[in-house]
Amino acid sequence: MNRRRDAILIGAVLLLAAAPWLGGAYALRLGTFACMYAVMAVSWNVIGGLAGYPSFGTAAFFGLGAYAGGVLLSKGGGLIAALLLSGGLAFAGALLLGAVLLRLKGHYFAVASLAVAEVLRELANSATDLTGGGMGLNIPLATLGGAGPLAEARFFFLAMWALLVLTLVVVVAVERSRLGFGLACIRQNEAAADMIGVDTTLYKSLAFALSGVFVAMAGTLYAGWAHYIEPPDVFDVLYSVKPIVMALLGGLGSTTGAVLGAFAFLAIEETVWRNSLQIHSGLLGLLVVVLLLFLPQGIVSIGRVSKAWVTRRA
Amino acid sequence: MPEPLLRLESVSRRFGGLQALAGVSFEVGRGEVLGLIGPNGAGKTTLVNVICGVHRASAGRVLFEGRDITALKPFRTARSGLARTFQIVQPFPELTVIDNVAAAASFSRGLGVREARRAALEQLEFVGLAEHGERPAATLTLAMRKRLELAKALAMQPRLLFLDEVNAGLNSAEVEQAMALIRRIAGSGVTIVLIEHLMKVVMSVCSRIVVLQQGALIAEGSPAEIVADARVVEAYLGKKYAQAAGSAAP
Repeated sequence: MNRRRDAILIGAVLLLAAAPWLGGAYALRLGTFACMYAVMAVSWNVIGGLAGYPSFGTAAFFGLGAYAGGVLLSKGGGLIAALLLSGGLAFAGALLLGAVLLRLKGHYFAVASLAVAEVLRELANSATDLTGGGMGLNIPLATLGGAGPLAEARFFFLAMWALLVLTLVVVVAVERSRLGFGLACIRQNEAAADMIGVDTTLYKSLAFALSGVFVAMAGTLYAGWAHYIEPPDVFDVLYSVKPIVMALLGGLGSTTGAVLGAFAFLAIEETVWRNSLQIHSGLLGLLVVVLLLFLPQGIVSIGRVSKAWVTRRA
Repeated sequence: MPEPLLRLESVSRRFGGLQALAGVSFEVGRGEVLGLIGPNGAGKTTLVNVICGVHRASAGRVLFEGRDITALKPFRTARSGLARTFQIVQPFPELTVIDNVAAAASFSRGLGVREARRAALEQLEFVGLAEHGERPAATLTLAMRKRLELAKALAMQPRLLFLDEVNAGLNSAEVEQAMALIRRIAGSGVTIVLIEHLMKVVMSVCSRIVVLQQGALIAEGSPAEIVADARVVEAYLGKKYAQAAGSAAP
């Protein structure tokens, strides 16, 4: 079962890498978003799925990464430096913040994590000298030396894809390590985990930090790709909500599920958006509800559910 | 006199207006099986929670092997050689039985996961759960979960073990098995503090007993001394009964 899941995961990610050769600018744009969403969902799964702390902090990390990287890029810094800066900032910030926020549990933690993005957005809004404030931040086109829009789209797609692969490698390694073991214990019974010697504060903070690093890097790539960011765009609360829906859609706690959930969510979002501009949000919500009603364990359980359905019919 | 393993120096704990523990002092010697008894709500579990660091003592000190552990968090006391079972069993429900025990071995002693599984199997054999190792802990019966709690605590290789009502809810055959197990653990050199309501178990297993009532220590002595103590009888059965028992006794 687990081996099959691994195979599905590797297959899906490799298949996605073919996008630049399959389609034009639209396929590339979609592929880049698919990788970005998957990075977000897989990251959220570390704190939400493994440790059991439902974080609404994804938008905070994404915006932080977009602005930290974006500012450095606009001042002429390189992309690698920008990625390292945003990843490092997110990791350190989450570690410190986590030690405070993760004392709260359940809904309280969720609400507190939601506030982080709001605070950062206001900071980005008011630090006009650095971020351009409400006017937004322009990131010069110089990143790739003017190789043309298609070449650039291809570059950012591959960069986002590579980031997804890096995220997956790190997260899967964590899942199988003692850290992952300890997080599973914390999710199932935090008091008992503490009692057998798990340093719960440290482990939860590490999980929170891990859930932030790659999302921040994705934010930096997004800033470089879009060339223009503004606070309401990158600190959009939807960036906090969508990864949760994706992880639930794919199957809570499963990395493969998070990737599949992200792809499925993007596919649904894109189809609904194109075909019904007026009521797309409503339809999207309805679809998600239906999926969760009939597949509460997510897409990864589809084999089990259909088998049970067939045996019941027989 | 040799240094005691555990020493409480007038430990107090207050929850708002409730004085849960009021200046409790006693010692636990190495190799002892100490019974900790008292009526419901006397503060027995609170005392264990304070020693293990779940609650911090409002006043007083806790010394383990001569070291002050009053302010240590639970995971630190766990790593320093204290283990406990919970009155209400606390397994990790989705993990297998063996992983439950392996987690305890791994995080308390710093073992790698593979090594921890090996250590876990040993403990499962000791408590008689070896053939259930691959089941999720949630599927065990209550008696099995109690033994799983015990295996988890033992996998931490504690020098001091708190057993919080390991016999509550078990039938008499299961209690017999549990008592045999406790004797074997004590025989292997682990010091035990046994919190227990079943007097049969306390009387037959413990070498010494301390009695708590309303957060205060009211008696301390051998099992025979404790059952003859008028204050203990009064705490459990009321003043009238204590007087009647007192006048009947020589």
